[in-house]
Amino acid sequence: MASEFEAYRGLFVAESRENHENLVKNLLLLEKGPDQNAIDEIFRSVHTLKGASASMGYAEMERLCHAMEDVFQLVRSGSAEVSEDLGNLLLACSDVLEEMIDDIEGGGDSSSKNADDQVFALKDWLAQRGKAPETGKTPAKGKTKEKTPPDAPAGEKEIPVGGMPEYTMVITVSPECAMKDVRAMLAIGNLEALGTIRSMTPSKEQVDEGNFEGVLNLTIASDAGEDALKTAAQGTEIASVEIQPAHGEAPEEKSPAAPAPRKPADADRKPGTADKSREIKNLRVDISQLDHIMNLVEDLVINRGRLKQIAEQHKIKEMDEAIGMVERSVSELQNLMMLIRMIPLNHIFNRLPRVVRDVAQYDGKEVEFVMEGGETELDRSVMDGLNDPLLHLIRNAVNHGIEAPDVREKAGKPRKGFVKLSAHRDRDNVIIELIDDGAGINVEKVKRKAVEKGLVTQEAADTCSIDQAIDLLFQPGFSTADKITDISGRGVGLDVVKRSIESLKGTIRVETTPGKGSRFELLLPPTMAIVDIMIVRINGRRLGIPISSIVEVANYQREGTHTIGKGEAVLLRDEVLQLLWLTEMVGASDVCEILIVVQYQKRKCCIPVDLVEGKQEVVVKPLSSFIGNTRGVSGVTILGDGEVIPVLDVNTM
Amino acid sequence: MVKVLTVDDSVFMRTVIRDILSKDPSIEVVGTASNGLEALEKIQELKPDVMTLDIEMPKMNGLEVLKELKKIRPRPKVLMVSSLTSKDAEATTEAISLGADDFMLKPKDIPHVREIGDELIGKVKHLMTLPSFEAPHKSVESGGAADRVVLIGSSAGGPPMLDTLLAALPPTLPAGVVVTQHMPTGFTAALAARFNRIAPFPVKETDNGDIVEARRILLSKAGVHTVISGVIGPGGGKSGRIVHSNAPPMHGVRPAVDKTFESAAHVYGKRCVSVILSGMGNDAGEGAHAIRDAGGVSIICDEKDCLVYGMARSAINKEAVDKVLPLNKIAQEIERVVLQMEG
Repeated sequence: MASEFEAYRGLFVAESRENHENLVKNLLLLEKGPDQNAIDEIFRSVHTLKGASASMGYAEMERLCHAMEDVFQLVRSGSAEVSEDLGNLLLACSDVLEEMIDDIEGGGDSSSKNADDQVFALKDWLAQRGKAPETGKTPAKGKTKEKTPPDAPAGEKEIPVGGMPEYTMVITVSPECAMKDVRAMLAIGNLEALGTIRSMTPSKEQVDEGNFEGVLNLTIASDAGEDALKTAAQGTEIASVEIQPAHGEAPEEKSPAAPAPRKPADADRKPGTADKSREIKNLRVDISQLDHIMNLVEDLVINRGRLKQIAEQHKIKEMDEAIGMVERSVSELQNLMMLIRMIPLNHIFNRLPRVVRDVAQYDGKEVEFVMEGGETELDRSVMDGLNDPLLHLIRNAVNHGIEAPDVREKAGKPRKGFVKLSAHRDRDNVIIELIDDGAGINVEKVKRKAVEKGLVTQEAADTCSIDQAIDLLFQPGFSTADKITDISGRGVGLDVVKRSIESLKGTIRVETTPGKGSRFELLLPPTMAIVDIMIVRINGRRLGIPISSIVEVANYQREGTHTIGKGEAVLLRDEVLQLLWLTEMVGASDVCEILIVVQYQKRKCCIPVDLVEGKQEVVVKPLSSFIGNTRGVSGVTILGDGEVIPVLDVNTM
Repeated sequence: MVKVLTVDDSVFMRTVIRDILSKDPSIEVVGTASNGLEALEKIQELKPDVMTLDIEMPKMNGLEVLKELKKIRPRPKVLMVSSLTSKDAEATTEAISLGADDFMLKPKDIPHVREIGDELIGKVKHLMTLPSFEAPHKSVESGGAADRVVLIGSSAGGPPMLDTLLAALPPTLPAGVVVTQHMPTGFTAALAARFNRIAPFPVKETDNGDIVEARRILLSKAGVHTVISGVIGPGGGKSGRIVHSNAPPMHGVRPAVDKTFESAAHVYGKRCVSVILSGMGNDAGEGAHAIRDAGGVSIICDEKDCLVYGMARSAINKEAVDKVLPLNKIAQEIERVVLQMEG
């Protein structure tokens, strides 16, 4: 059954993630004010998480969910409110939950994540409310850490007589009772079934012999509880039973169940699960493997091209038809591969409200955060690379952009800042926009800082435009944070963000209006695997240039070339464009007739080429580590006829 | 073919339940629903014989479904699938009073507990053998403090057997009955309410201080041990009184059958008969031994009728068994033994 049940792991993870997200979302909603619907949702999510984790035998996760559920039950019934402290605690719990789900997804059983701190904090909260419901045998607070010594008796002898609470009892038989000793013996018998009688006056022997005046004083050690003892001693013609704890020490009514023998059991179980064969319905595949498959598909395409050529040469019609069918399969395969790799942005968006909340709370700011377009899809590899830069930008927006509530009020703005993250597909690109209505970027401050850090000279700073000043933000080592907090990283600045985005073949743009706010725009290709290139020929050699960087293709008239300093330039549509000869790469050519105008950010230049062969979608294969990173070349691709050609990387040229 | 509708708001839980039930060739899961409203629609559409019903659900919860169900004919048999919480325990008791036919706990630790699937399948099939729920009308008068007692110990797989056994008890039985069924805290009230419909005389969960009376069935409250204390009636006859003991769990369970059996043997001596039904673990062996030592009669159920035979085997290992009987013969034997006991 165990291996068969592994098939449910994927389903469990998927549903648990959904419930976890729902939990966090509604906890955040609850922070804005009382919301019965959010409370119901939270309760249900936790309830379901608990049920499912119990079913799968993920004990640690179940324990945490159980404690959360106990707390939320009080909230739901209206007898408690979610204070800020409780909200924070529950969010901390949800973080642990997420780690547990990750662990389970990776094949674990949540036991590697310890939730003691959270569980005890929740229990403390319950205890303070004085309404702790019975929650099974959770270990008592402060859980006994020391293990039983190895030489301790191994059996499950549950009754350690020494530790039992003791009681003194006074049992009085009705004076009119005829056979007082019989009553007393019955009571003694009943009590002996529940514990050990330590001392008794008169003694049992005396009672047995009939020497009994009607009052029995005894001390008993028992773990049955006061009520049980009292009931057992009572009976018809027993006038009264008095009982109190001996030595005045309060007996533990709810005996903390002997340290549950869970730990060793779990430890025993662990090694077993690792080597069990599993039947898995959902797979987690390394993106590099998908890339590999993608490359193989591309190889198929190339070989299909060759086959086609051969078929044409030998004029074999049947083969032509067969190749046509192969072609269809291959392109379908290619499309499928693309689809598999695409995932909605929500994958990373969903965690952001929490980030905004945490940063805002830490900074004492008030922020309304809105997201749009989370359903927009991106290639998985782009998504992976986007996560950190996006996090950084969002933190920046709250940390640096949005002003403190008082400051905002003085500036005539609402106390609550506004941050909006949106995404949409724009032809071949995905555009992600982050807008805030904060203070905007203080250009003067940026310049001053850049000069201080020696990034630019004072003169350059004085004369540079706003855009150029903003560019300074992206220089390595630049950070305007007045103090280093744990929110806006240490030394990691926008330069890292920019580099990350560029490594995804994307661009980043910033607009800012002092006092009104800033807007960051990320332009990303939806996928990195496939690139549209223009194939050009220089000196008999072919090159690929990504279409996304090309703005224009023009005729080249040699006579229009001007020499400026060391370089050459042409005048095209009233613009002076630098000529970028690729002589070093492919050798000199005399027949250059065409100019390919490429643009990087706001800079344009043109590459003279002999002729343009056409346009093609290709997979760009990275250069091997043997060659290493080459500026200006992002990789190579293989064309239909088998020729390997370099693909230019305009961003780094 | 038993047609089953599975209702739960968790797709995970629905899948697990559906897959378990689908393993049995005589059960067909004809549909699933994620909330009460959907469930009511599907009942009309699919006419299932049995519905497994979750309690906590959006839009319409399980209890509301039961209220609506009163207006529907034919009504499917309802198996509540409850979570292990004090709140769900209360809700389960209410569900039983609202007409749910049976309940069980959500599958727990399925990878390591093989019997869960069998229990769920067994429950569903068993439901089909139960008469439709009708308001209990029991006019059987209590026989007063009982001078003899029938003790039943039961654990995993036991409740359906108890249905059969309790229903077959003769309404004239001159003995008290104390049933100790392993169950999580909170759920024995629901179980007692359910048995109350089936048994020939009233069934209630034990309270501390209850007197063991003839023609009354007491079900040990979960979370405490049921210990039987001796008490002398006004007429001088010896009888038993329920004492709830907070002693730590024994064999990992509370109530432990051993606690009840041993204390009963002490009080009732040879005027007690014990029965061990299906159950996991070692509980009940020592108790049966004590009963036999005291001169009482120890019966265990035949292995073929038990889902799990651990408890009965613990009695066999202690040579504490007088008779091994098939389930449908036990009630008869109880009556015979009880009637033979000297008054």
